[in-house]
Amino acid sequence: MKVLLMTIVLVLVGSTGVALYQKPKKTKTEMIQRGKYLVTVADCNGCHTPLKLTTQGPVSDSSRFLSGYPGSVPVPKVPTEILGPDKWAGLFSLENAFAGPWGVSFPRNLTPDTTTGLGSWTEAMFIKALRTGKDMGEGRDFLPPMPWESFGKMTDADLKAIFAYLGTLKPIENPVPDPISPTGERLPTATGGKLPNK
Amino acid sequence: MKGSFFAVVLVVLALASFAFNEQPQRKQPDMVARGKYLVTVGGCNDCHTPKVFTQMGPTPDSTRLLSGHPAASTLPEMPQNVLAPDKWGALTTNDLTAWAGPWGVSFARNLTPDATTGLGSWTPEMFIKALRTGKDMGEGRDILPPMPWPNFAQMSNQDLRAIFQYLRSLKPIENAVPDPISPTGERLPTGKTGNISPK
Repeated sequence: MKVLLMTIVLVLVGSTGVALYQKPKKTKTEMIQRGKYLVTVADCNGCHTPLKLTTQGPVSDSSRFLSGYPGSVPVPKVPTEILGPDKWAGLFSLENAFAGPWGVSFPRNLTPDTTTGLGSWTEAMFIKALRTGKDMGEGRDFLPPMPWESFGKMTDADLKAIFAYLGTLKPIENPVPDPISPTGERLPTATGGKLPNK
Repeated sequence: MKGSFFAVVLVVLALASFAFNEQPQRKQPDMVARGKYLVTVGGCNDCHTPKVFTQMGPTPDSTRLLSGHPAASTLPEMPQNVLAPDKWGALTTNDLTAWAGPWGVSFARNLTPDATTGLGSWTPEMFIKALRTGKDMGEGRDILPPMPWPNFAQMSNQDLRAIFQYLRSLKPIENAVPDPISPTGERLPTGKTGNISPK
């Protein structure tokens, strides 16, 4: 009887210990939901989703969710005379091309399209890209206004959740133009496309 | 002896059920840490912290963390024929604390707990209502672009409370951010703000 009671006590102590110390392992569905929450509250679609014009003004086009700068839209001429240290720093176009001292940058296609989106990226590349600010984790620098330094401070678990969620999106073929340097040259991106002339 | 073993079993059972059933109620330091994480990854500093200009470009000025558009700074001259539907949509200053667009000119708010110029007089409920409704102080004028409040509005109450707790832990900085300017050049009054210095 004594032994039985001892056994019960040990089992209870043991199982309590396991319950207290076991890390809550998230399921794939929970991970994707977490990723969706983070993508929503961090406003990724503020720049990465094209706009459509409605009577209410321009709104996010959900049919092209997170597919990046529409490759077919020309960039307005940059009024370089208004930019400078004592002047203005950056200009946003309606489709979120961003012009400034770095040239002109375009929001990337974040859908899982294989050739123009993140379809060929691994989770490790995605995390490295956001931690280092390098395209694909080892390419050219990310340009403003992408706040990768902020996102780069996310935990691995949160970045993995975002990548898992992006992988569930509808793949959209949209070759985003390469960025333009301050002197007007193209800065090649692995999956970037060409920009039409205005 | 048998009795004491039963007592041990009961105590262990009680502890076990306590451990299983306790809601994960966050302690105050956990809330502040969680809030700091969300403020960091949410990019609040990008617009709400003044910058120092280094060789690495503009970086957040940690001595003026989240104190908003500096009251003493002046706006660059507004260019003509740049902001138009077929041209550019918005302009920002070098420290990203002021933005011009179809809505006029908006200035990043002082988020420190300063009583008169920051969020010192706000309650957590006002903060949550402001971010859920897009109204200053939860019932004032509209919060203007580029503040992405419709996104932050989708945060859980727990996350918004954590952010507020973290903001309350900051050093209060007195900085009277100017009221926004309407597209026709008038001032849009805000609860706790100052005047803009003329260029």
